[in-house]
Amino acid sequence: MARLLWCMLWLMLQPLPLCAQSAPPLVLNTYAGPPFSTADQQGYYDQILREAFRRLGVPVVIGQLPAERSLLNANSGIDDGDFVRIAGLEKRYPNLVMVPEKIDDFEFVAFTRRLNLETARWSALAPYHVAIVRGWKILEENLAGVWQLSAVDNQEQLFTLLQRDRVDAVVYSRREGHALLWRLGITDGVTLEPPLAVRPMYLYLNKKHQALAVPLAAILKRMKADGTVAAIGRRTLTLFLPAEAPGAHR
Amino acid sequence: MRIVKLRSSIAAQLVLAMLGVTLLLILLTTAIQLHLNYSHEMNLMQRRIQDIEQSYLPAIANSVWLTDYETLEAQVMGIQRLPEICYVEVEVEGRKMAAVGDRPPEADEALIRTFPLSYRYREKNIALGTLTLYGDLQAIHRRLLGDVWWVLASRLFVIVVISAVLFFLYYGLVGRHLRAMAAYLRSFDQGRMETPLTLAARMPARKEEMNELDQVVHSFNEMRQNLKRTFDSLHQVNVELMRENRERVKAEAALRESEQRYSLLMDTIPEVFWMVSADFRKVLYISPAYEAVWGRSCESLLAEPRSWFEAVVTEDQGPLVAVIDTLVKGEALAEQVEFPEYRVERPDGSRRWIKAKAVPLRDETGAVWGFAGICEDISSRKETEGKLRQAQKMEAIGTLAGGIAHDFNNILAAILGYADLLRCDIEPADPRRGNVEQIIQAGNRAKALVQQILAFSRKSEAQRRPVMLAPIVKEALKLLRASIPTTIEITPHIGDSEGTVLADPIQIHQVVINLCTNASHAMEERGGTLAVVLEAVELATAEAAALRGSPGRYLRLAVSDTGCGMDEATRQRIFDPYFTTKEFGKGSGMGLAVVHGIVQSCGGMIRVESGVGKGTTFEVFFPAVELPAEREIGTMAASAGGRERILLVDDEPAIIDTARQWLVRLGYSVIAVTNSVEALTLFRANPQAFDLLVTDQTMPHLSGSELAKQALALRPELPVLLCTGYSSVITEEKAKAIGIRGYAQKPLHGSELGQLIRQLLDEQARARR
Repeated sequence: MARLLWCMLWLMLQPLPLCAQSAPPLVLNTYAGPPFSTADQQGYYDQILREAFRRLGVPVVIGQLPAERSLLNANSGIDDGDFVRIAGLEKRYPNLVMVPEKIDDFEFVAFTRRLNLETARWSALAPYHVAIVRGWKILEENLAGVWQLSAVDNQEQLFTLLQRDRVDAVVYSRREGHALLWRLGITDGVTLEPPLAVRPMYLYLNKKHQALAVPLAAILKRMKADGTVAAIGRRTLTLFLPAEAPGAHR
Repeated sequence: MRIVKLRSSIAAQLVLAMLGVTLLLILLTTAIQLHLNYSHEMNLMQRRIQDIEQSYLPAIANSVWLTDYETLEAQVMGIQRLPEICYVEVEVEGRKMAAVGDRPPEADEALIRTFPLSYRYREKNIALGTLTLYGDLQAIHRRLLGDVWWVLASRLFVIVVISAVLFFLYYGLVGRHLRAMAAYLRSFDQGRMETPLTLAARMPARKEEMNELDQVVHSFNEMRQNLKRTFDSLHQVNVELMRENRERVKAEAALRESEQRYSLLMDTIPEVFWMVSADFRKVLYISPAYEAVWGRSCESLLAEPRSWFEAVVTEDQGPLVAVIDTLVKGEALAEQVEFPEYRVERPDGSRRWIKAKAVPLRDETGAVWGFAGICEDISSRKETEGKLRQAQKMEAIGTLAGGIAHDFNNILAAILGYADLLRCDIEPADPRRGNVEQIIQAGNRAKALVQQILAFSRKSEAQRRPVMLAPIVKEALKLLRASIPTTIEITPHIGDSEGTVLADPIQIHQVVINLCTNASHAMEERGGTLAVVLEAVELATAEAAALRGSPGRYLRLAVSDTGCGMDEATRQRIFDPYFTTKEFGKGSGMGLAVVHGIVQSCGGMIRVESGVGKGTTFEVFFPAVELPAEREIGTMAASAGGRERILLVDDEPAIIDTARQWLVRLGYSVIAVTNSVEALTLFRANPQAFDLLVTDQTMPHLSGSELAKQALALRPELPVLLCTGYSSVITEEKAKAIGIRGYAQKPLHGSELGQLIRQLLDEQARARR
């Protein structure tokens, strides 16, 4: 009964997205690269969000932008949303509304080819030249005191710096980092354990789409529950992350 | 002094002027250059900003889009390092995302350009923020100001150097030569014309190689030579001018003298000189003679210009007005206009004849502005003309009378000759003798009358020579005594040696006879005294002038009577020919006219004093001469006969007949011929057959003088007696020149002829002895 009522309530809210059928699709951006987000929108996050919005009945287009630009566009209303972001960004970007259901958990780890640290902590990286992707606020805040901090526009540049030994270490998410090591052929790249931080990652919408946040969170939860997310993980990540159990969450 | 000279030199003036002008030009060109540079700098800045816009703006927008603020910072710094840009600012969503530069300049210190940063995203331009560029105007200003000072300083330096060089170059090339020329010209005068102007620099020989100063010097030297020639010419001209001036001064003096003479002439000439305006309404000048002629003052004429005309006799005014009208109208502007003769009446009532002429006075254009002329008092001439006409009339009468007298003399000669023969043939007791004597008396009166006519008409030749008057006067009185009634007493007062006069004795004789006859006529009725005085007198100037003669010594012949005398009117006319107060038949009216003529021909004067009832005195003054008197023809001797042979020639048969009878009666052997050619033939046939030739002068074919001439050619010692009545061909002098010894005027009494023949024959006889 409760489910029925919920569905009815949902249906009552349908006219809005239904009416938006003829409106242009929402544009959601992400700094994430393949295999999590690809130009053909077939990446891991792409398929999850497209499925979620499909279920919501709202068409979306997913694009790739630099991290900061992606945030700014979503905040300024140029685009409609930004995803795989840590919680609490609405404080700095007041026009953003977080969809309160995480899409993924990020393990922020340091990738290196030379360093051999026993225990990886933020402070342990202080004597080194570290690179990060511009716009990753958690990294910018925690690595502000390192000897030299370089920020690049995207993860390819980041790992290219590592590949060419321009930096001592780069800090990035574990799974994407591994995917890039694989893709760039950096065979001697390793992660420093334990992860420096683990953070749940969310979808943020511009305030104008505030009404979609809750339904989307519900749909995401159902997709996790019904195995849709896991199925997508298997389809998209197995090739890049063989070590990772498909659909696994850490 | 030196500074003044330096400042006044052309070089200094040139340099100062050039400095002034150049400074102005420098300031002007620098200002223009500054402006151009400023425009160029501004253009550069604009272009730079454009370049930034074109090249940097997309990159910056991209950096902003990518939020690559490091790159953005680097880009902004790169822009700020550009020379024209002092400050760059990038603002994104209201926040200053990047700013490079010391401080944002004020609006007036910079050229500010703001460009929007946009990014093309999903078919839309996304506004990201702005890029603001600050062009550094102050830097431009500083740079330009620095350039200006440098340009000004460098150019000034160049100009000062050039001016100094120019100054010294000018002084060396021109200034010092000009000073030399000035020094030469200061001392240049007429005395230095021979010294040429030379400069320190050598002058090329060829004119083409001369510079400007050389050409000036060359030209000046040519001018100096021309000037010298001109001075010489001027000197000559000056000498000529001085000479002309002296002549002009002389001419002016002569002109003044001429003016004085003119003034004197105007004041003294008897003619009236006048000048009037073109309309004859204003008298411009009148000479003093006007007063003498018109009897009115010149002032009165000037005050009343018509007064001269009002004095003109009324009947003469018309023709005069007609001529004046034509002159005033300009219809008769010949060079000289003669007015009709007119008369003016003077205030005393006397009238004067005036002859006037006028000439128009013209200005430079030929327009007549007045008339000038003279008025001549021709009263005397008019009077003389009257007399001349009278004289001409008399001459005509005389010519007529002379012609008549010639024939009349021949007739009288025949009458008197035959009457004389008849009287000799009649006994004194015969009562017919009285009749014959009446014939002879009447013939003698006729003969005297003919003589008077001939004398008056001057057809009888006067033969003046130095003669003593006293014997002639005495003889005349002796003759008169017989014809004057005894009731009249003659009282002569005649000196024997009162001097000689130059006169014809016959005419003197006639003067005495005429004056005495007139006097006797005046006393004929009551008797009286006829006083005849002959004396020498000395006439003083005043007395001589009163008689219209010259002072000097004269012989005064005075004939006075105690008769009836005469009034003034009669006295005025007594010398007029044919004027007589006597009854018809008693006087011819010629006596005193003949006296007057004879006295005048001798250069003498006549004075008459008379009053009615007071008698009359005629005084005749003959100029005395210091020549001895010629021998007077002796008193006719009584007729004496002879036995000589005489050839008698006359074309008048009556005369030759009476003369032949007389000469035959006197005992002569006479051959009488009436044809002179025949007489010459006869004489040529036998020249020795005749002792004397008596011939008439006027004959056909061969005149008496010609006959005598040819006869004398055959027989030079032949005595010839030429008898002439009226002849203009032969005079006594001419006759004597031919060789004719005897000359007589017809008619001759038989006794007179006999006496002349005897005289010639006796002289011939004396000559032979």
